[in-house]
Amino acid sequence: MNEGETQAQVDAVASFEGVYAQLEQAVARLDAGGLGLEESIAVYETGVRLARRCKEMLDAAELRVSELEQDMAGALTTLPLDDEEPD
Amino acid sequence: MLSLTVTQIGSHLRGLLEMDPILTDIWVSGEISNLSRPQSGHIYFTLKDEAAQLRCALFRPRQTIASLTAVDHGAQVLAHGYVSFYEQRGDLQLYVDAVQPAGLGVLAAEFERLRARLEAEGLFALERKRALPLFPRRIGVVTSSTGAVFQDICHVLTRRWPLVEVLLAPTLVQGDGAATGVVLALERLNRRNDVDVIVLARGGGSMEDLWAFNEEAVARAIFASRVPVVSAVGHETDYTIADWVADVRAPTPSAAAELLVPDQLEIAARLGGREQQLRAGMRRALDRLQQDVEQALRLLDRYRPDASRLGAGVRALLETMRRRLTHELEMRQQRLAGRMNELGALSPSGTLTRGYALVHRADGELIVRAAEAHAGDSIRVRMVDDDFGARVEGGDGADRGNGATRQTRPRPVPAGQERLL
Repeated sequence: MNEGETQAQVDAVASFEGVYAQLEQAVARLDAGGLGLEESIAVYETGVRLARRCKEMLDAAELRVSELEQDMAGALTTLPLDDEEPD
Repeated sequence: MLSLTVTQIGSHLRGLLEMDPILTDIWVSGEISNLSRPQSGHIYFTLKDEAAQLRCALFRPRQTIASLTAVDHGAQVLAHGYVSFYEQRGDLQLYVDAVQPAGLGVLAAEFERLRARLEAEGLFALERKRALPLFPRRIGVVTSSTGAVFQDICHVLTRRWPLVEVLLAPTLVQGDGAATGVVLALERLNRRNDVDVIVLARGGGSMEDLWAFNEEAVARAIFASRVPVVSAVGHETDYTIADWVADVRAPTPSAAAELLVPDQLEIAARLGGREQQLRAGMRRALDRLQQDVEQALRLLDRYRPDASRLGAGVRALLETMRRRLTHELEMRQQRLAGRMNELGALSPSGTLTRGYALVHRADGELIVRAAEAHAGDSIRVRMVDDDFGARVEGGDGADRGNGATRQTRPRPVPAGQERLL
């Protein structure tokens, strides 16, 4: 399994799009009504936590830039463009 | 001494011509003369200039409206095709597939020829164009590593959606090797599995400067790209063939960055809206439950007058049920209000993080309007991190602007020293 696949899997779990979609689902469930009080509270709490997670992701984000690079062996690696932590 | 038949010479000549790289794909400029349109539908003419002339044949299947319009007696044209030897008649001929007025220049003529051919092949088809991802996670940028274009794109992305990752696939964007470089970059990005969308970007320039993005190889590489491609080449008024093959055309590289990602401010506002929807949904659920319980209570009340006919024991039972239901409802309301207060305090709309505070009376009830706070009241002020006690000073109710004055810790004020605070 190459690094690209692992990264993609991690991204899939944590992706903004995924969390946002779950938030929309929670809102839709609560809007649809018909839930008991306990379930309504549960959906409400979930929804608020999801919205907070979205906001956290936005607040914490910093653009990450990298560049396709060829190493000595000719294989393709990526190199971050800001020189703080090499890949 | 070598001796060949005429046929052999003819064949040899044709072979030589058809192998020559210049003669197999050439634009020839000259003046049209000896124009003939026989009944066969084919068109024959001679291209000439001051020192030479060349026979030309434009056969029916190769004729287009554009070339037919350009072919006229005495017209100065650019004719495209390949040169070969027609053995049967011993004629050296240019077999023509496109004719353009010479005034446009050879670049424009070649551009038009390529555009028409690729369009006919279906490379520009609208049905094939893919939608761009709404929240891309990684954007591949094919552009020069020097110059302002890449910087501009990164600036816009930082402002709008810093969540995204940018992967630069550097290449020459003009001159020799540019077309190959772009094709290679597209292939490398497509080989990965983490790039959601690709941008081809380069700044403004002349038609020569932008020519790499008109090359057939680049067009085919864009067409073959599994990842959706946005073309952002040149200025708003520059159109290249890449623009037509790509899934989306952006007028400039900065405009491309705008359309690739959402605006975080807009999304943040939408998040706030969703929160409001959640609260409204919660209130509705609570209202509904309250109605249900009240209805149950009313039903019980209806039986009360008849209860005197039932035993005292049954009467007592009905009373107990009534009391319990009322109590249960009140408790649930309180619990919910408490939970909503807590969650409201942690709410991501960021009210508290921006310095707003929740103000409670001593008995725990939330103060929503300044008019509810009276001089001398003890209040608790809840900020995002903690809460503290305070006392209301100043005037009363509606005739006051900001009523509450904050003290960081409740401490006794020595007589006569109030003014110093």
